[in-house]
Amino acid sequence: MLVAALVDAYVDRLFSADGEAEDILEYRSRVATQSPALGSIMALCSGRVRLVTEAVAVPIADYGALAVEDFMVSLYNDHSVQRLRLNGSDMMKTLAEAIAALDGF
Amino acid sequence: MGERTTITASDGFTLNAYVAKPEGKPRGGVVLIQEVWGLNDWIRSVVDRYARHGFLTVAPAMFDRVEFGYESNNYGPEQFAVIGELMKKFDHKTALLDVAAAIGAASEGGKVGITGYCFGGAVSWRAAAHEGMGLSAASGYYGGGVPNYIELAPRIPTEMHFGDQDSGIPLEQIEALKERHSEADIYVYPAGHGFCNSERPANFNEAACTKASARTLDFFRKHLG
Repeated sequence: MLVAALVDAYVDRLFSADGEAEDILEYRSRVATQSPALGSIMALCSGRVRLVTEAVAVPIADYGALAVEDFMVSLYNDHSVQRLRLNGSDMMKTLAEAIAALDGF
Repeated sequence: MGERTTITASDGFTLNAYVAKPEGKPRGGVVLIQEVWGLNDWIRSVVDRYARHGFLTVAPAMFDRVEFGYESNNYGPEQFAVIGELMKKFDHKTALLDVAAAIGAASEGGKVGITGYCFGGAVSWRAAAHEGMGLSAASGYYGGGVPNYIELAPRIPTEMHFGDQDSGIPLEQIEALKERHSEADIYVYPAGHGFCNSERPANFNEAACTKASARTLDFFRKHLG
């Protein structure tokens, strides 16, 4: 959440640095349209969506790629691991995409 | 010090076991439940250690009903899928029969305690909650999945040891276990998961293991003799 909050705050800084943008809400809406990942992060920080923890099944063939903690969790939880989801997508992946998208503004 | 042997469960299944006897009269019996790597070098060394402390110690091969003779010293990710398949077929009900067989064997040493690591820690917790196992004490280490068994109440003196940096067993789950089961002694150490396995340097925490192991020995001396 801290990283998400920093990303969200950075969008506001981008607005401040943008000499042409006049309305921050319009700016943020434009950012969300151009980058769905940033849109999800901004929606999270404004409370419009929530993080959820979901049990995600892991095929045994994929076990070798698991971190040892996930391996252990999966053994004792019906071959599933806990993942944070935001708007149906993996939170960590969304966060990474959002951070990468900041460069484009 | 110990030797490989077999024991037979009440349903007739014969499984492998590793047994170590102390010099002189045992002060009690200990059943040691493996991690998911079977009766490998490290587990057998721990059996020998308990025997040196005076306990007739028995480690049953808990996966023998799934893959007879399975054991591995390979802690790498190449084994994860193998173990995943074993756990898929693992039956907790018949597992308690195997534990009971080990308790029977260990009872030649007197009162019996149970201990175990990760998978073995969880089995120790489950056995402690099961009526009529013939156990006098349980001391389990970082039981994987123990928080899933929070509804099970120990029926014998029980202690559990966890690491506060165990991302497989988050601290909030340990705190929930502590709150739910004030009758059990639940200890938390500044360590990660698997902190007692000296064959895994990335996990091993000598200070935490020494302290936890000393507590287990005191616990068993108090409750077994």
